[in-house]
Amino acid sequence: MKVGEVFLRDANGFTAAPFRGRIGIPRALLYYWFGAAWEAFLRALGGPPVVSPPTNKSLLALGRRRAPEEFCLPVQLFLGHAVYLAEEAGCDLLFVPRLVSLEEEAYTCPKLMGLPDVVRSLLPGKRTMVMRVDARTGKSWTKAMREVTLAFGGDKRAFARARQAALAAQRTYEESFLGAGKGEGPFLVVVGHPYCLYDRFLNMDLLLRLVRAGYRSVTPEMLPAAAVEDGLAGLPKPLFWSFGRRVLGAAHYLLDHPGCRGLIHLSAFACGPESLVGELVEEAAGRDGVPFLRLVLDEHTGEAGFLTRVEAFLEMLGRRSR
Amino acid sequence: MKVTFPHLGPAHLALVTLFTDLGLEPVAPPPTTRRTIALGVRHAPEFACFPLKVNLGNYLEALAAGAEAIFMVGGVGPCRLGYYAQVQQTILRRLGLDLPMIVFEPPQRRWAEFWRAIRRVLPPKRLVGLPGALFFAYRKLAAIDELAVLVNRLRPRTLRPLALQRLWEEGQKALGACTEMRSLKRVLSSFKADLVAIPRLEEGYPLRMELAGEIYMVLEPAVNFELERRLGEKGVEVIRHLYLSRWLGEQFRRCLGLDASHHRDRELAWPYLAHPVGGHGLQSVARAVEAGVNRLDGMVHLAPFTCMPEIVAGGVLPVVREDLGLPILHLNLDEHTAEAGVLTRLEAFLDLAARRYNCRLVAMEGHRVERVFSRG
Ligand code: SF4
Ligand code: SF4
Repeated sequence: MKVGEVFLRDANGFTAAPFRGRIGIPRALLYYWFGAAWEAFLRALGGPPVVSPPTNKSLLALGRRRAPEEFCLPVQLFLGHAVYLAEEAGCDLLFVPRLVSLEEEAYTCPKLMGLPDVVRSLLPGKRTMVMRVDARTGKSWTKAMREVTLAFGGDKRAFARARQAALAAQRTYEESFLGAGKGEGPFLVVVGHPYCLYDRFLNMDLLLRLVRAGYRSVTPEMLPAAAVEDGLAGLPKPLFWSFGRRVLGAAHYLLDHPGCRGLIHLSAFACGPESLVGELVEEAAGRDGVPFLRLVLDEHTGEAGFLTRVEAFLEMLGRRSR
Repeated sequence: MKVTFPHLGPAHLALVTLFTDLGLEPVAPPPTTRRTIALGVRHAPEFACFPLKVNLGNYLEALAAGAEAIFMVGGVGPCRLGYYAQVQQTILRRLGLDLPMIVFEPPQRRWAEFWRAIRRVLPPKRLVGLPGALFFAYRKLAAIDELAVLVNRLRPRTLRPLALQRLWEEGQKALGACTEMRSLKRVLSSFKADLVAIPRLEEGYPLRMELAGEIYMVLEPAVNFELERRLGEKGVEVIRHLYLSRWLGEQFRRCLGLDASHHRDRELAWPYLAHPVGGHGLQSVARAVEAGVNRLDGMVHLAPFTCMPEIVAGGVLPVVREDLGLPILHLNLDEHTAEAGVLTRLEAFLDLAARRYNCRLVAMEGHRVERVFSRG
């Protein structure tokens, strides 16, 4: 048994031979934060991956039809993208990350921890490439990338090259957000998980609409990590969801800022962690007397209801500032 | 200080003893009812876990009964339980109820902090009694659970279900009232003898089913429509691995690095769920695999609506059902669940399981397969 095979079994359960073929990345969930790096990494390892198109109506419908109904909207959407890649785009292998923990003493979300298994049970017989990251046990991105490299039959040099490419892509991506956060004058805070904030179909272009209405918006990703940590100081108990930390930390940090005009909390229907974090965010906004709007992305309420609420909120802000 | 706590199955019986032994004044919340649930639901966030909402209802009712502080457990994720207390306190404050919450965090390598937390609540002279009080509370729970196991075995076979139920309720009360180890043992064995003495059907094999899922929903009859009892009275022998005392024992041993049951569960679940997902998600899958391999007649999977670990488990269970031919009833319960709907689904499920069972009994010429393995 070659080393690559051992790792394939370990990381990916059922496959047994080094892989060649079309590999697909679903453009959903944390693709909206790590996607550029994943793409660069897989491209450097062997041929460009196929990325599913940006979310559209039919992908959403596909996800809602095929995924178990209790899942939150973003996971259903992910499964829609995965089914599309497997069945319509003809991919031989699906790249499914298992992001257990991205920093010590914090997790992502139980649903992301079990994502590859859900994909497997939905698409039996489909091969999946699992990249498991678990910072709690010291299994960092580097280790995870090394495993995937071995699974592809790559050597040390290939690994070093692919890793460089991934890190560079991630840095560029993160810097573009930090750049967007700089600016003067009043702003709105918009907090939520990356796939809620940056999937333009899912949130009906909320950020762009705010810009059109004349508001600069600041999201957690536009803040340096230190600022988020700063905002989290003084919590009665450390929060243990990485993205929840960003949401709450950014909210606390920005609420103290004199330019802050309002706070929007964007979460998905049936999201577990945000149901609790949202409560804490709302309380913080109430304490500081900042107008607060909670938006839940939901298939049922539809565009009209969502936009009406946004408009009503903006109108209220306008009245306040006059 | 008058301390209250949320309900969880038989936990209140042990907690009352524990707190009394430690010199605190326990105020058990009134039993959970529809009203409790409605009260909690009114003040909790819509998509919060159902148990969080019911806890809140318990607190509010206990506060009306004079409680001055709340005892609650914590956790370190990924499940929401670890942040229940903080959110509940936020909600109570908003309602103008600012009272101390004593949160028991699992030590998790931080023994010093753990120790300080205990010291804050207990006066030093009480500390000496702590291990003994804990042990007794644990033994009390273990005794109640021992009785529960017996009741689950007897229910499908008994000829007098009402007498059995009455005795079971009396037994819990009597065990709850015990204050020392000797009387605990005596009461337990006398109730066991009484239960066994109730006339029962000796022949035939009842259906056997696993009851698994999220711990709160499994343990709390007030929110699961007394499913365990209903199953038993419909002639099903309920096999459940989640007993509070056993679970606490496992947690304790695990803290000391001695418990191997989670390794075993990981192996069982591995082909379907290769990683723990918090809560009891992985355990639910492991139980299904175990039930399938042991040729049990079905499994009822209980979860509160929006429960993350159980949603993941529920996502992979259909494959277990296919692979191992195990009928699984997946019940998502919350405040909106109508009892009638649950009962109809239960009926249909039992019909299906019974038909399958009869076919198999014919195929096996009446011989029953023994369990291939079971957990010690
Ligand atoms: S964090 Fe929320 S939205 Fe994201 S996967 Fe988990 S439950 Fe779904
Ligand atoms: S197991 Fe489910 S119900 Fe319990 S805290 Fe976790 S998410 Fe909530």
